[in-house]
Amino acid sequence: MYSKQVLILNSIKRIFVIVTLFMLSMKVYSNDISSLPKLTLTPNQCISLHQGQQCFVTVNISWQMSHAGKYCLYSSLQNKKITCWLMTKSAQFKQELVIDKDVTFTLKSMDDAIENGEVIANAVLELAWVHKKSRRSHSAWRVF
Amino acid sequence: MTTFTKLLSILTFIVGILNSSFIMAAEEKEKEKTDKTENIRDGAYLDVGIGLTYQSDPFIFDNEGDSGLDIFINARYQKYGFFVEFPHGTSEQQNTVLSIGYNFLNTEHWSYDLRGAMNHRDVEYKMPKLNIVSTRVSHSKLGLRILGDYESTHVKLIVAGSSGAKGLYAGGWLSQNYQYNNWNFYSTVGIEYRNEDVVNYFYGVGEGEGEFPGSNEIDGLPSYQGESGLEYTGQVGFDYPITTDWVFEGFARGTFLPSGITDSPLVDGNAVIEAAILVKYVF
Repeated sequence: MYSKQVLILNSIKRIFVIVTLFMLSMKVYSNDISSLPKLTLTPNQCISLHQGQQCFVTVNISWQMSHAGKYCLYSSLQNKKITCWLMTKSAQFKQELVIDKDVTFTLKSMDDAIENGEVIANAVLELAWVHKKSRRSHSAWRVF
Repeated sequence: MTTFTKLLSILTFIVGILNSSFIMAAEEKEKEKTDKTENIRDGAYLDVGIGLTYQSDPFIFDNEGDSGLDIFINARYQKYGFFVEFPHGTSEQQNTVLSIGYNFLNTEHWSYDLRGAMNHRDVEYKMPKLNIVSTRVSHSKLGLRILGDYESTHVKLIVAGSSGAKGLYAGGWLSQNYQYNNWNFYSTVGIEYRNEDVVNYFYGVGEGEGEFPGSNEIDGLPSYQGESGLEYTGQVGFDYPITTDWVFEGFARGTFLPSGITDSPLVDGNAVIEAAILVKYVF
């Protein structure tokens, strides 16, 4: 009697593990499909000490597409494209920046049929700070 | 006219000249304000940090300020001009435990505060022979504080009472900030004056000492009466934002004491060296 109960319990455990693994694999699979196209910035924030200061950052830009093609990277800092890739579906790019506002990076598919390319993905490099700029800074009090 | 009144008049005159052009501009801006009761310095600030500190001081029998792990707190709250400050950060001239005051005037670059604060830290001499403790309690005294705020340059001027019969303290500080990438550096220089009464209260031996009435010496030390003098301080430091809430901070500071203090038998040296590195959370 006891051994039968143990067998049933073990079976339930096995089923639970199989179902969990199946659901996890479905989640990973669905992530892979739904997250493309993907444009990722690392870091996604540039942090200065005080609001209003220039912020220095080296940002790693990576992107991934479901199909190979011609893709170009743009940013809100400049009108011209930063760089382009041919017949590829993923790439990485590193850029040193000095920013004083949020910067939006845009990945465009440069299909010959579309004149200025089609926007595939956007990502924002956010400008952040520790001390908010006030009409009278706390610095004078803090420094002394 | 007392020395205190003279110093106060001179200080007010100098700042008045510096300030005159800005007051008119500030008055115009004030008119534009929709809420005339608002004080531009009203608000709250709090940061709490933990770090390693090093202190080398020449006060022979005072064990205060040992090196090691330390907690750093800077807190300030102001409403309708009335403020409370708890300064225990890395900044120079934060000898007070708690200060309260009233911010009675703000112009474009200058703020004027009446403030009750200590202008010297407590000193506790532990005498080895008689096993007694001579405590020199620092008292909160009223004074005028003027803060100047020009982008990356900051000025602080203080004239205040201090412990001692007719204790008088005056200090002037100038600080300049620099930015290199996201690192923020600063350098500060300061000059402080303490009159004879303050020097004798903290560094004198013998006469007039409450704990030892009629005695001319403590623990075999000769009696000593010092003189007024100027202290010079230089400080350099940095701040680096780790996240929007966490900051990595460090400083090194050297203070050179006047002969009125260094000649005291309670003192063996003429400089105080301090340094610290810490991480702090900014609320």
